[in-house]
Amino acid sequence: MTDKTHDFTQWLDGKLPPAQAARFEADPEALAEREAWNQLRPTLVAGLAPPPLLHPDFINTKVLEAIERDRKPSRPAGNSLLRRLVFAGLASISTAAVITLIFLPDSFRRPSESEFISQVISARAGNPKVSVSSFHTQDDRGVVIWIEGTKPIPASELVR
Amino acid sequence: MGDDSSEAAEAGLLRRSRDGDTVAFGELITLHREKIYMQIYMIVRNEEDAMDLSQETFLRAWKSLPKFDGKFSLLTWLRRIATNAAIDLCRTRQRRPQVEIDGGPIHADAASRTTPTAFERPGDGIDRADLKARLEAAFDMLSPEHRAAISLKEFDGLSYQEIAKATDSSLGTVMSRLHYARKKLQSLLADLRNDR
Repeated sequence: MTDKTHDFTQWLDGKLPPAQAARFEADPEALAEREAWNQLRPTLVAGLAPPPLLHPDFINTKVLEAIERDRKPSRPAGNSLLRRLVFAGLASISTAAVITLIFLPDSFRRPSESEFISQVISARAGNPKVSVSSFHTQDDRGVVIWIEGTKPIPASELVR
Repeated sequence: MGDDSSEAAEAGLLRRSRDGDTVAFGELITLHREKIYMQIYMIVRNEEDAMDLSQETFLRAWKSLPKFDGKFSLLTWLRRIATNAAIDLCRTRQRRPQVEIDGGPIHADAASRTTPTAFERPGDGIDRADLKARLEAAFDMLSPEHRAAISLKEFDGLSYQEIAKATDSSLGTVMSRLHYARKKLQSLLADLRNDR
């Protein structure tokens, strides 16, 4: 872009001081171009006029709606912070509980049934006059074998 | 904005808007919406886009109000936001429109769909609708920056300095854009002149 082009633009718009404009006024090519533009310009302006803004208030409505939308989340900032803190606290407690359950030593857990001293799967007697039943007591952590219809167990059997 | 009282009124609305008063900002929108819409339309050449970008312009202005230093008038500042938004949209559109024909991509733009491959010969005669279509097609062939410069000069009657501020360009760039835009329009529409 040269100064000549700048000057030409200004001359075309009638903004160039007369002293500088003289060289264009004496140039037939420049004069022809000015004439061409002066003919085309009104046609362009008339033919390209933008359509009228049919619903101007629509712009206001939409912009103000958007502003209100943007404002809403920032209003309850305090509540939002509190909610986040509560959520973070609960999440921490849950995580700690899970970790504790996973890594808690077995000795701290509630004993299961298999840890009793003995477990009776079935109890029956060969003699029909003798009945045998068993039950375990969770409170005492023991198993009771209840025998009816027999003499005292021989000393040799007590060990078994 | 013409006289001192309207300038003072605008300054008052601006102050209240900066304090978060949306009613005052609504009045500022009312003052400038038409000019902003027209300016955007001349760049994007589509009513729907012009409407959307007008809203975007005012919304961006609202968000940037604390940064507005009053170096330019409010309208000039709004024009700058509008020009940037409109040119951005045109650039995005230029990258997008591609149609696949016979497996090969064909680049298309709005102007190429409407511009006649050859102008009518002088004396062919041209009706009003055709003339409008011809003018629009030629105008669409300008770059968005050139459309912005020409429309601010010829339709809004802005000075070079005002156009420079509104488009965030130097004075030389404005004159250069005007020069080349006019040259291109004249060459595209040369037969219209012969026709008359």
